[in-house]
Amino acid sequence: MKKMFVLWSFSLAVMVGCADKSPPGSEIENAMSKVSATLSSSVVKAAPGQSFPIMWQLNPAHQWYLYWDGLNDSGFPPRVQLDLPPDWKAGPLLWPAPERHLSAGEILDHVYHEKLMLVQMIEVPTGAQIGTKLSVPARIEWLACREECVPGKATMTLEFAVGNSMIKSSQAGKIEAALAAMPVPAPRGAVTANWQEDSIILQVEGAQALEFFPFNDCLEPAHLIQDGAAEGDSLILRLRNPGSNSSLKGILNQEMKDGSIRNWTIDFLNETQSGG
Amino acid sequence: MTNFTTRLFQHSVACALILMLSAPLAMAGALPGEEAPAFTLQDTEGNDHSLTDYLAEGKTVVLEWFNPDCPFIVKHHKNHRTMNEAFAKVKDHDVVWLAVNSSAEGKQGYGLERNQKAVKEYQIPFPVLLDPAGKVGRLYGAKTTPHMFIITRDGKVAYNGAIDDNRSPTELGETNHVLHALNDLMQGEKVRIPETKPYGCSVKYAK
Repeated sequence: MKKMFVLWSFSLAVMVGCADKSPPGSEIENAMSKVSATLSSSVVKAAPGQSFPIMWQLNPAHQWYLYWDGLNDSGFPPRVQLDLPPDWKAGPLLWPAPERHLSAGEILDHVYHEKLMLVQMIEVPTGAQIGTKLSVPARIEWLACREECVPGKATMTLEFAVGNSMIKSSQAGKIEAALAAMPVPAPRGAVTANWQEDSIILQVEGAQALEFFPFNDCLEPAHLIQDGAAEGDSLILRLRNPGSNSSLKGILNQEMKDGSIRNWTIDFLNETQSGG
Repeated sequence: MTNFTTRLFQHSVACALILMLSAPLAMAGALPGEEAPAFTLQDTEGNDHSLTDYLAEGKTVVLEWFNPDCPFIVKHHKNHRTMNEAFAKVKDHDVVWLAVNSSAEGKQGYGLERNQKAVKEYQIPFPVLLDPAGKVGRLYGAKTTPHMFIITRDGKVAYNGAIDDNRSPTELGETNHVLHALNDLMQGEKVRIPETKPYGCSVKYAK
């Protein structure tokens, strides 16, 4: 029994490992598109009712970059598709904090110059049958840019099994670390927001530099190139439509005086004096 | 004022002047309701095209920012015929469609030869205008290829934004914003959605 278990676990690990590598067809696509893509699971087996993370990793070639899923002037962020069976649920993609990228013509994008690790939680339905093995078709597409842009895509398969308890994969540590590094909601009171007539002042005690990366549904900044990054502990964002019902939401990147970096998500309801 | 203060003041003014003169041309931006910036540009056949002249003829002008090698342009001009088909629907209604290429020298999509080839390859039925200095692109605040503008015969910007509602470099959208806007105008109505967020590759301006 033990030998069979070891053999079966090895087989699953190989299948998951193979699922980590793109099939030959998508490797050719990847070579042309300047990005290599992998998909990993943090488990080889999970129990009904449990959740576990998977990770899509995109590695752009030197000098190439990928786009964040927030406010950009150009580009296209990666999109994923997982064909899970009914009742299985995939959570939203979790994105790490990007970097600002300014091009000639005052074009501001938020990008990733190095590997991009996107994490997604998978929920095993409570009614899932023990012993079920799944092969889940998965697809990811992206746009990689340097001076020029090249679209790319990869198709992969993710193998799972349903068991009595969770068995972690060899990738679990890496995936859990990526999950832990994701931006988290700002602790209550840690970011102060002072609304003015047509602007907002964000302040974080102890910060020596701040950057703001707006989400797509954020109250629109009027001059993000000039206002989106500041030295010191405060950042003033002028707003394009102060009377809008939208909130100021996005990622606030903070470089602290002790050298540490924090990334918090913020969501402030519009309280400008001209609206809200 | 002391000698030191005077010298400091003069130095500061000099620095400010140097900065102003060396700063790249700022992006303006043609927002809906604003006066469309005038321009005259040459197309790939050497013909001049003037916005003022078209407006004087009573035309509605569609501007499409263009770069033949951008995947989003390839989507709309090669893999699908979005722009050609849209133009075919409106060309008999006093609408002029002009593609504008603001790629700088050395950048993707630049140059007369490349764009002459693109006109043939994509069977483009309207002029492709060359703006290598990026002056017109910056006047309009063009950020992407494609980035669409509609200018009505009164010289005002009626639409600024995306061609359609799918930001993918490969998939077509369901709603063609430009056709909807032109349809509103042809019905004698105000454009219902005058602004959307454009999408595409960044315009390849000179640094």
